[in-house]
Amino acid sequence: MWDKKVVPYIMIAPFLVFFGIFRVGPIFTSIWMSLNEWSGITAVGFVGAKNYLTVINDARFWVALKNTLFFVVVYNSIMLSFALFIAVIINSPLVRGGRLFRTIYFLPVCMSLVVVAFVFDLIYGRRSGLLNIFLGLLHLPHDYRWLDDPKLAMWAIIGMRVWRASGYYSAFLFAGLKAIPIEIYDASEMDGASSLSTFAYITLPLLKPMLLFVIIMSSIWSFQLFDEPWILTKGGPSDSTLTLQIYLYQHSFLFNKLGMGAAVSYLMTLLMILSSILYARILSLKE
Amino acid sequence: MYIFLILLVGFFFAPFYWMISTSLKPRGEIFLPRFWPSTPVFENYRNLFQTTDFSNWLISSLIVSSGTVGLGICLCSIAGYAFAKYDFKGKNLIFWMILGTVAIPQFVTIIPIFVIMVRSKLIDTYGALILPFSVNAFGMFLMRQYIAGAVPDALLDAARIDGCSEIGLLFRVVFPVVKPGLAILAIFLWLDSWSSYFWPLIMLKSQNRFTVPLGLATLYANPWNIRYELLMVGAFLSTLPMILVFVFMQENFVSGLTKGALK
Repeated sequence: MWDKKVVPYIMIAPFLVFFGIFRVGPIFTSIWMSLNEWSGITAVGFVGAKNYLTVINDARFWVALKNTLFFVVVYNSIMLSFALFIAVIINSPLVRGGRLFRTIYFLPVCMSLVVVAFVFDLIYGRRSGLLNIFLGLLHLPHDYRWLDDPKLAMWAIIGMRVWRASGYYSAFLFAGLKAIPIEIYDASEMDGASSLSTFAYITLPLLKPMLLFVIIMSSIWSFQLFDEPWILTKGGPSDSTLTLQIYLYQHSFLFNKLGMGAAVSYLMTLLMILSSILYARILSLKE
Repeated sequence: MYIFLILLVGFFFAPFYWMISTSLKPRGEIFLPRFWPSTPVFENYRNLFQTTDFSNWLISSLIVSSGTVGLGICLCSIAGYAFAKYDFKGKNLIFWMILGTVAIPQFVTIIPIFVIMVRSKLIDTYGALILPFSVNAFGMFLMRQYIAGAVPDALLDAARIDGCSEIGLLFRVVFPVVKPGLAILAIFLWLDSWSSYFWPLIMLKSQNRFTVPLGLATLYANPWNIRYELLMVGAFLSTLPMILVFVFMQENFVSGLTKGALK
C-alpha cells in the first residue's frame, strides 16, 4: 500500500522523535543550562562560565573527582584481573561443567546495586557481619568498621562491586578466549613455549579487542558510581565516598542549583572522554 | 583447579545466602553472629507487605519496567528493521549519528529531562521513567544487527511478490523471525529499569509510587530504626524475578551479551 520509499521514514520516525526529545535535545540544552543561573526551573540570567568556575573552585568537587578516579582505577584493575583469572580457569581444558560454574558466577548481577548495598551493609557489620565473622574464623583481625571508617569505606564499596561484576565480565572474557583458535596453542606448545609466556605473548594480545571493550564498558559504568555510596553513607564518612555523581545530585536537586549541576555533568563527560582516549592509547602502546 | 572454582561458588553465593537467612531471622537475632536463625520467621514476609508500601512499590516497578520494555521494543526494533532492510536518503548519516550518542553518558541528559518533566507535569508519574528509557541507541543497534543477520532478503521479496504490503511485512514476516532478538533486548531493558535507582529518585516524589529500589531505600532512611529483616525480605523478593528470568533464559542471555560485544 505505502510506497517502499516512504515506509522507512515512517518506521524510523517514532524512534527519532523520542530520540530527539530525550537524547539529542537534552545533550545540547544541558550546555545552555550550564551557562545560566537558575531559580528552580526558570533561568534567571546568562552567566557564562560562572558555574564552571564555581565548581572548579569548590574543594569538594576535587574530593569527589579524586574519589571517583580512585574508585574507577582500583576497582577496575581488581575486578577485571579477577574476571580474567576466572575466565582463564573456566576455559581450561582440565575443567568440565564450565557452563554450570559460569551460570552461578553470573548470578550476582541479578541483584540490583541497591540490593547489593543493603546486603553488604549487613555483611560489613562490625560484630555480626558475615565478613568479620569469617575473618574471625580464620583468626585474622576482624574488628573493622568497614563502612564507618573513612579509610575503609571506599574499599568496602569496591569490594561489593567486585563481587557483583566479576562473574558478569568473566563471561565476556570467556567468550573472547573461546574465540582464539586452538591451533595457535598447539603451535606454541610445539615451539616449546611455557604456559606463562604463551599467555602473555599470544593469548593476551589476541584477547585485546574484547579486553578493550570490557574495560571501556566497565569504566563508563563505574564512573557513574552513585547508588551504593549514597544509600549507605551519603557520600561519607567525611566525604570519603563522595563521588562525582553524588556531587552532581546534591547540587542539582538538593541545593537546587541546576546550572551548576549541568556544568558538573559536562566536566564529568569531558573527563570520561579523556580517560577513554587514555585507555585506548595505553592499550595500543602495550603492543 | 576445581577447589578454586568451588570456593568461588561459595564466594559468589554467600551474599545471597546471607540475604535469605537474614530475611528469616527474628528481629532480635539480626545483630547476633549467627549463620541461620534459631527458628525461621516467615512473618517477616507478611510484615513487609502489611507494614510498608511494598505491594505498591512492586506494582510501580512492574508498570515502569513493562512500559519501558513494551515501548522500547517497538521503537528500537521497527527503527532497526528500517535501517537493516531499507535504503533511503540520509540513512547512513542518521544511523551513525544515533550511534555516536552512545559515547555520551546518560547523566548529561538528566537535568534537562527533569525540567521537561516538571514543565509537562509528567514529574512523579510513570511516564517520566518510561519515556526517556525506551529510546536506547544501543538497543536499536542491536536490533538492526540482529535483523540484518536473521531476516533473509529473499524471504521479504517472496512475501512482496505474494502481495504483502511493506507494513504487513513487518508484522507477518519479520516479527515471528526476530523473536529471540526481541527477547534479548527485552531482558536488557527490563534488567536496567527494574534495578534503576538514580532516575526514580529524581523523577518520583510520592512514596506510594516509588519503584522497588527506591521504596526499599526508605526502609533504610532512618539510621535509628532500620528494619533489616524487612529489608532483606524485600531484597530477596526483588531479586528473585531476575534470577528466575535469567536461569530460564540462560542460553540466550549469555550468548546474546557476548555476541553483541564481539561486534
